[in-house]
Amino acid sequence: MAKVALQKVLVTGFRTHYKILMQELHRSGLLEIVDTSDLNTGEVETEDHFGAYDLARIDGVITFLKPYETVKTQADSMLSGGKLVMSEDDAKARVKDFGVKSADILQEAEEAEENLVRYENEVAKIQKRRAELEPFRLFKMSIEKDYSTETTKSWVGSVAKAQQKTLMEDLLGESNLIDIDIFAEGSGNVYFRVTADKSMESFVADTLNEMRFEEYDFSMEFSDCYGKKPREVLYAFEKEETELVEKRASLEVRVRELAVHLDDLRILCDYNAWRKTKNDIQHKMLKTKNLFAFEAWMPKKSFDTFSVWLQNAFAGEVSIEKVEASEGEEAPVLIKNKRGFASFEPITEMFALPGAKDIDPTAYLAPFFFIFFGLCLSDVGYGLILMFVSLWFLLFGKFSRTAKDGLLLLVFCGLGATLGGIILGGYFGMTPEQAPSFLLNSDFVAGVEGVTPFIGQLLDPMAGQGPILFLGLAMGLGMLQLLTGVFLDFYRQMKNGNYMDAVCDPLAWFFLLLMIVFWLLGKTTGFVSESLFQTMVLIATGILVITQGRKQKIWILKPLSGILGLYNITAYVSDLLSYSRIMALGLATGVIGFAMNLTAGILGGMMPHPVLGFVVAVIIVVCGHGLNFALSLLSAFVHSGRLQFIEFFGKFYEGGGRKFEPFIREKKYLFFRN
Amino acid sequence: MFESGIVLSIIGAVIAAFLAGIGSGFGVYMAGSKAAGVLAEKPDLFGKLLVITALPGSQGVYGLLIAILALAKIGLFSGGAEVSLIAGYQILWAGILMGLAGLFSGVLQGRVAAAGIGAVGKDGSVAGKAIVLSVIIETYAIFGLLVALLVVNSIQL
Repeated sequence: MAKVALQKVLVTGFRTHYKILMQELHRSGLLEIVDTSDLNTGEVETEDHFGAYDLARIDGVITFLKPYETVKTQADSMLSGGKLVMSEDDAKARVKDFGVKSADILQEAEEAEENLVRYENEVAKIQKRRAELEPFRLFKMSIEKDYSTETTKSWVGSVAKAQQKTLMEDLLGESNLIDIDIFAEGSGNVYFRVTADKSMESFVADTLNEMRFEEYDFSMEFSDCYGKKPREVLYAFEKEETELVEKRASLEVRVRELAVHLDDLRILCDYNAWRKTKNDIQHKMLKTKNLFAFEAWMPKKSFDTFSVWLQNAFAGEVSIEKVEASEGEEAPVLIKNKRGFASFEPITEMFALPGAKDIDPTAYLAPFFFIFFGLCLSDVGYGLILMFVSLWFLLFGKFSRTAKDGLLLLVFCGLGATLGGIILGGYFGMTPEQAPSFLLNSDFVAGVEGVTPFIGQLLDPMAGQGPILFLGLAMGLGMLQLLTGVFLDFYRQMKNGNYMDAVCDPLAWFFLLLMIVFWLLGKTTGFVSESLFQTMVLIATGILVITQGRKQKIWILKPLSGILGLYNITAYVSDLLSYSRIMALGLATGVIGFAMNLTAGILGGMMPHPVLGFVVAVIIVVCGHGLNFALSLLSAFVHSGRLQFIEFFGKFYEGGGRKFEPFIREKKYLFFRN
Repeated sequence: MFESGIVLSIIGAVIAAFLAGIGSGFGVYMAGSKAAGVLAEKPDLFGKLLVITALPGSQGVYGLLIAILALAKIGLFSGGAEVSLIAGYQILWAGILMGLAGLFSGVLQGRVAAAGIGAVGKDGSVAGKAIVLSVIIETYAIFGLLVALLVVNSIQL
């Protein structure tokens, strides 16, 4: 239930055993191999570029084929977490079978992808050209660069439809040496050709200019079609497009067939990745012609079993010995908590893994996170939904250990929210009048204080003294967490051998805070003697004035900086205030749920027909609570987390450890059944 | 207009929902457009980015919450009650408090969230830290909410 003690080891052996040893290490994931490549003076083997290339190819093909997957495979099922569940032997056999075919399939898939992209581009290109040429469909002449002859000049193009009449009048009225051939209308334009005697060239050009004539130049896009009529060209385009679309469709059919191999490709992908890591790892170690040696980190308690296994498996030809970590080298960090607590590890990891001098905070933050989350979400309905959905996945899904721990965390969160909901009387934001009677206290009367409406409810956050009590509860829990944090700092410093600091800082502060708590308790409730603890607070303050200045060299500065040190109390006050968010978020869930119910009631009542009203109300209730659930869940999670990271960790935890990353088979797609 | 308790209360409720809503709107806008940019490069980060983008959205919810509480307090949903001038001013100030706290913290949280999204775009593993940084600003919206809740709740009509 803490950080796992790690041991650095040196493994040496004969090259003949290298392969089998690596295979076993890779399978077990026991060791993190240290990179000692800078010591390598002998032969340096080249990196496996082919392995990386193969892997990238398979990955690419999987991404390409995925949308074409028609048969739902195991990997699509939510319950398998997107993994292929099978035994290791099956996977091995499939890789062996498929390995032979894989090269062809990869190549075919890659070509298909290339061709599909090409067809796509060509179709788009043809469609663009067709659209451009379409207005000229009825143009009687063939496509040419220029229609002018020795004596005439021609313009082909368009003007706005509104200009058509003026155009005809202006040009045809001017001279009978001008001819206009209108061949198309479309999208507000008329398309035409003007032919005129060379003597009229400048007049026609000016008139056309005035009308914002847009000349069309075939040489820009259609220089390959000179001599053909637009109608013919368009026909050819249409034919070509149909052919391309057909080709694409038949290729897609083939791609769907190829997608059948997706699962095999996925297995192959994992196997190739393993081969690559196994191959890459050798660059981290020392190898000669006959020997190999590498340094590694491993859990201390596995050392004996592992060395015995090595002894037996390789007849003493592979040796292992404990070594000291080199100067400045920090051990990687592996945290391991008991089942249950382990599900809170992701929260620790979200902040940072414990550094060299830290303790593992997971077990200490777990109960606080559970309670804070529960009070923030505080709804029996939401809590039960969260709990049972996660529980269902946990029980019936096939997930890795890490994923299952995460699900277990959600189960805990759901449980916390259910309990929080019972304490605060949150049932889908229902008021006591709306709630079914079996949830209510029998002696509850609306408007009378003293009895809370719901069974098991400790305080009613919306009535009478309820909000203040809730705020007090939040602050009280906050104080408890701050005290725990300060105490953990004491523990940590003692463990690290800083006895003086441990007593003078955290312990002295812990004493003062505790005395203040008792003093306030005496002041408000009278359970304990107020005057006694008032004296104790003064004593504790005195101790702090003495201890806080101990690091000053000049004697006069010692008491001064001791008094200044007391200023730190403001930090504790502001930390404590921060816990009021628990109350605010707890209230928010209930009030928004209440607002959703209210809206549903009002809008449902406004409908002309009771059945319609009922349907509308149900839709609003379902969507509204869905939204409230999602938002409250998010806030509850991040704010409970924040209270750990900033207020709690701030007292005793630094973080910054490097994660223990064992040499292991990463499974991207596979999940081995035992 | 400033002599009617009920009018003041309604103004207060509207201000709370309105200003806090604007704050959240801007905040989510800044984070969301940054997230969309990152998504183009790394679509598999969608889940993480969605969470960070949603963070500045809570101020709007707090504003809504105060607004609805205030309206429920003055009995707007159940036919209306007599609201004294003092109660009206209490609700008005609670609304202004929540509105301003939500407006500024929402916009600023949006900026932090957007910066965090940039960081997540470079390295997906820092998502948790980016969330925490963004949540720090929200503290002040929550304090606003807390005071506004206490004020609205303590009102005697």
